[in-house]
Amino acid sequence: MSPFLICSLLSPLLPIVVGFRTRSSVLWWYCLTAFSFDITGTLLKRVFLVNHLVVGNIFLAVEFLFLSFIFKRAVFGKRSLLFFVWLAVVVAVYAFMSVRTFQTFNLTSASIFYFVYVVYVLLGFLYILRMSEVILLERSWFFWVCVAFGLYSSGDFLLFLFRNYIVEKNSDLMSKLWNYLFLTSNILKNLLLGIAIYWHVKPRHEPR
Amino acid sequence: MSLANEIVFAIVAFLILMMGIIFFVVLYQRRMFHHHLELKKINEQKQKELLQASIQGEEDERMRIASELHDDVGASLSSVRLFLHSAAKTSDPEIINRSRELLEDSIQKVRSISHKLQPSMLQHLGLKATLEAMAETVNKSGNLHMTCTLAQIPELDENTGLAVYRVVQELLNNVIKHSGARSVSLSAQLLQDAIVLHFAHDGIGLTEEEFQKQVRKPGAIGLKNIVNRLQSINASIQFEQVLENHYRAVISVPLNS
Repeated sequence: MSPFLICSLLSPLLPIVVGFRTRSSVLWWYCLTAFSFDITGTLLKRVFLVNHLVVGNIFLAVEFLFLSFIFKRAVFGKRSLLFFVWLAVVVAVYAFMSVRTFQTFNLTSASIFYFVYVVYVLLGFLYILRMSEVILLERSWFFWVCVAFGLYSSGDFLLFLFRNYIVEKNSDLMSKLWNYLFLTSNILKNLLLGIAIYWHVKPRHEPR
Repeated sequence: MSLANEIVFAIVAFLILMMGIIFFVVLYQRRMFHHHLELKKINEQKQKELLQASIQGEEDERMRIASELHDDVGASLSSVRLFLHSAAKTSDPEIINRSRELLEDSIQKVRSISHKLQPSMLQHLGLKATLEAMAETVNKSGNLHMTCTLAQIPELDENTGLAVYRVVQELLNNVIKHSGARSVSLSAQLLQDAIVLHFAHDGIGLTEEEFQKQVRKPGAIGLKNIVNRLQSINASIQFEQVLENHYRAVISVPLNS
């Protein structure tokens, strides 16, 4: 295993440790879930030598649910019905798309999900700028969440979209991109989520 | 450049775009934050000055009452005591008459002080009659002519009436002291949810800009008291120059204040 992969696998531990005392936020449970799925996938692939891509496919849907809940206030405001309809429709469509190809990683869905996260993040930034109370950004957990997922999803959504093509043309390039781009952005995301969870512990007038 | 490299280039470009957005949000929000802080500071400063002016106004009023009691009423009563001492020894009717005159003078002065403190007319006859009486007093002085057109003024609650009376009193004092005006007019207009008073004069007055400048300056207690009193009843005042040597203050008092 490359050091990048090890760092990436262990990086969710930082936000988990930071938020361990309260364990109340959706963000903390997201980090714990991400860590569990990463470890499970790696064990299946490297220790038990079985197909681990199913874990990745499940995680895509779980991650979407978590992020939708985190960005709910910023994206949907008080329209809870619309929010739950959105969740139900997306999960249903995703399940329908993945049911026949569940043994292979659903790249198209992954890139669509990542694009949705980019939109979530942009709406999140808009929400911050429109907030009636002006806050200190560096102390805002929601700002750090937006930065973390903004960098993570904007970097990776094209990577997932064109993964097959890049592998076909230049598999070496794909392996470099995976190591240097995906794993680095994953580490960065978890570091930033650590900061976000740190500020989330303190009560603030922001979406929770 | 191969398509694979172009994709890598696009990924990097997308990342840079996102960083640019984050940078913009940080800069924009920081600017908003500083603007908000400055606004808060100005507001706090203004509140502090208004409070200071209010306290200062109260202190000045106490000083004035104390000096009037000590210099006028006190001196008169001391003289009465002296005369009565003499009258006890001599039984001179001249001294007794003089004492009676001094006592009447003192009673008049006490009434005058009491009237300035809380115009009883306001309680008994209302704002309209009190303002008309004020105009009558001004007209008696002969230096300034004041006209009142207050037919539309409704019954106001005690606090609102007193605040409006004090504000008009302060405006009139300022006109007498600083404007060199020959005539003053006060009129009232009743709207659906407010009463609007027009206080106009033909001397040198204030525009809204000058008023705002004066209010922000240290001192200017009278003007700050006007703002304080009007704020307490949710009313507002607007100064304007109508013509050359013709200024006007428009006071809007909400009827549910």
